[in-house]
Amino acid sequence: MTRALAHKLLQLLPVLVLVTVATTALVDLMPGSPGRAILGPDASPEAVAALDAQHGFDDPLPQRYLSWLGHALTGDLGSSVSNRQPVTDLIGERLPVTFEIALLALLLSVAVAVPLALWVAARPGGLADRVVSALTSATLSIPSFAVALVLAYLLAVNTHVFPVSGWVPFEDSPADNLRHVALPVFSLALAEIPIFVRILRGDLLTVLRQDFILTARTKGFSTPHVLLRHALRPASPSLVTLAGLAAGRLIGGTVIIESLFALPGLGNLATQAIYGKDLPVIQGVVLVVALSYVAVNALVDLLNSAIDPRTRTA
Amino acid sequence: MAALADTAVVGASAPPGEPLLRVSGLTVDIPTPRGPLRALDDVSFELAPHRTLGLVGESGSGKSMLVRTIMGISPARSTVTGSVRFDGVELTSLPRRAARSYWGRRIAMVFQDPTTSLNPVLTVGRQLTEATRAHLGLGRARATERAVELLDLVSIPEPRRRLRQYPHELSGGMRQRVTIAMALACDPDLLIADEATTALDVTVQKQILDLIAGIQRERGLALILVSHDLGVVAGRTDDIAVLYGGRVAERASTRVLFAGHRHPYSQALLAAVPRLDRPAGAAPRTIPGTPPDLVLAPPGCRFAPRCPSAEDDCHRAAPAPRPGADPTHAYACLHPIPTTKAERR
Ligand SMILES: Nc1ncnc2c1ncn2[C@@H]1O[C@H](COP(=O)(O)OP(=O)(O)O)[C@@H](O)[C@H]1O
Ligand code: SF4
Ligand SMILES: [Mg+2]
Repeated sequence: MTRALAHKLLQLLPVLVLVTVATTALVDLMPGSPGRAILGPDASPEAVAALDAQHGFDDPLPQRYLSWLGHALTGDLGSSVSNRQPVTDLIGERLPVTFEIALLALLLSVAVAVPLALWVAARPGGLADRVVSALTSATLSIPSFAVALVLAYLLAVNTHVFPVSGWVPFEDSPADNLRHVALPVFSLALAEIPIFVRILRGDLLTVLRQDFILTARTKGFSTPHVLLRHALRPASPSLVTLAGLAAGRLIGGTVIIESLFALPGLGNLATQAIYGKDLPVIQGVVLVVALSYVAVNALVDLLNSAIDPRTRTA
Repeated sequence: MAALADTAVVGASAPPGEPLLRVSGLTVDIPTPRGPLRALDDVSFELAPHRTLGLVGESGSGKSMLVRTIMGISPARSTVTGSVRFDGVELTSLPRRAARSYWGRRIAMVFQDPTTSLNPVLTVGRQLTEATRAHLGLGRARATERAVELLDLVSIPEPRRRLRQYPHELSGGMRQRVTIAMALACDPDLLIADEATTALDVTVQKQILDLIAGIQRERGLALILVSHDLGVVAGRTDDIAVLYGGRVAERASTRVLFAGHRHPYSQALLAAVPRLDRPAGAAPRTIPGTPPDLVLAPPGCRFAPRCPSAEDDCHRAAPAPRPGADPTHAYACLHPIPTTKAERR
């Protein structure tokens, strides 16, 4: 098991290298020098040259990458070009926000989708199934930022049930923190739930046609018992994989939601860094997102082999 | 095995003279895109306690549909009419919750293919203990002890180690022994084996059939042995019902069916059995033609298109069952095989 996991992580190593090399290479894609891009057309050539030299922007790519890698391995991701703060500090501030929102959105999606899929799969073609199927097709085509706008309008601007925007750290006030994350989390979850319901419903229906389900029914078990104890687990690998993909997406790409609700998350940091041409910060964010993908990927593998013993032989 | 016996019988006992299982007029219709499919048509038979009934017929004749309907697992949108009485209680009209105290507890079933009838993601132990824990209220430790006894009963070596294994770690024969152990978990009065050995190779087939026969003798179960192969059930049953196109073509004691059958389809099935007493080179004859289409079934005898004895009247209406050699013998045929000819075989 641990060997399989190590093997998997080793397979993902090239992905990490590729992604970080590509971000390092961004410098070469910029018109003019990064120093000029950052300081603007009015800066003196001396100032531009000094900035380029300070951050090593004019070194050749291999040297730049190795130097970045060497520092990164010791936990030093450089410092922001615009405000000189260490990149690790900047990310450290933003990561908990993004992680909290991503995790809660994922948990909410699974918590809603699994019972819903079980319920409709118990009677395919029944009223519940048709209603849920209509609802999922409708919500599938709505982007989460549109949902966010409507929710914000109805529940924050109009009725003040939730704050319109902003952030309170969990340590300061758990209740306020949850009130602030509620709308972003709902908006994000609403985009995932229809996909989760569809995939799990389909897999459940496939599993429910199998002989071992008939065996369970002839053993005199109720429909809920058969669904929960016999059908759910063999039906869940695709859902787990999909949830993993969603987790990666949520960690790396909640940019729109974060800016809509003015949340100080990773997406927000990335947006600022891109506007400010803050290369060390961009590179740090990309690294963290890539690492999250790798971690989620390994977790998905672990979960799926825990679900299905037949995949455990390796 | 005393431990297995003391929790055996739950519920009412049948009045004296009542068979353990009485199926009458059982009809199952399944909607299909081409129209309704009558998978079972007016099927009736009885089974007394401790007896063995063989259910035979070609593939597609409705054997699985019949036993699954008895087990309450007919296809989702099918309509079931007629009656299934078990130990004096009508199962078809019983509320699901009450009926569940029969299925799994007093009637149990073993399926054809042990590679698909066990849950691949649950350990053998889990699958062997869940029924006794849920139905008999055993605690984990007691249920595990019982699972060990059950694996012993079906002659699986190292039962404790098996409990921790998953189905894919066992051979086909072992898996089928596990499904049999599972079926016996709540000490049923009736065991149904639907082609339980068809998916296994020949030597294992005989072992499993002998195992089932031994358990039946020891525990006094009633048994329904389902097979497309009359040769498999021959010598292991008290009575045989021959199904064709969802109808009972003939039913009789095993002796009468072999020696004095009257239905041409029984004759054809018997001729298809490989027999040692046939002269060498005389291969078993397969039955010419194909089983009937149950969606657009012709009005008359369903065997008519393939029947060597068919005459005009056979195509008009379904032949009603006629009494045969003794009270347990009946056949549905207008032009039966003459008794003397059948006995000569
Ligand atoms: N779920 C189903 N839907 C429609 N037709 C079915 C279904 N299951 C079985 N049948 C039909 O019912 C008939 C009897 O099938 P079955 O009982 O499996 O036969 P056997 O077990 O004797 O081989 C066949 O014609 C088969 O095509
Ligand atoms: S009723 Fe007619 S067609 Fe049917 S089995 Fe008898 S002889 Fe053959
Ligand atoms: Mg069958």
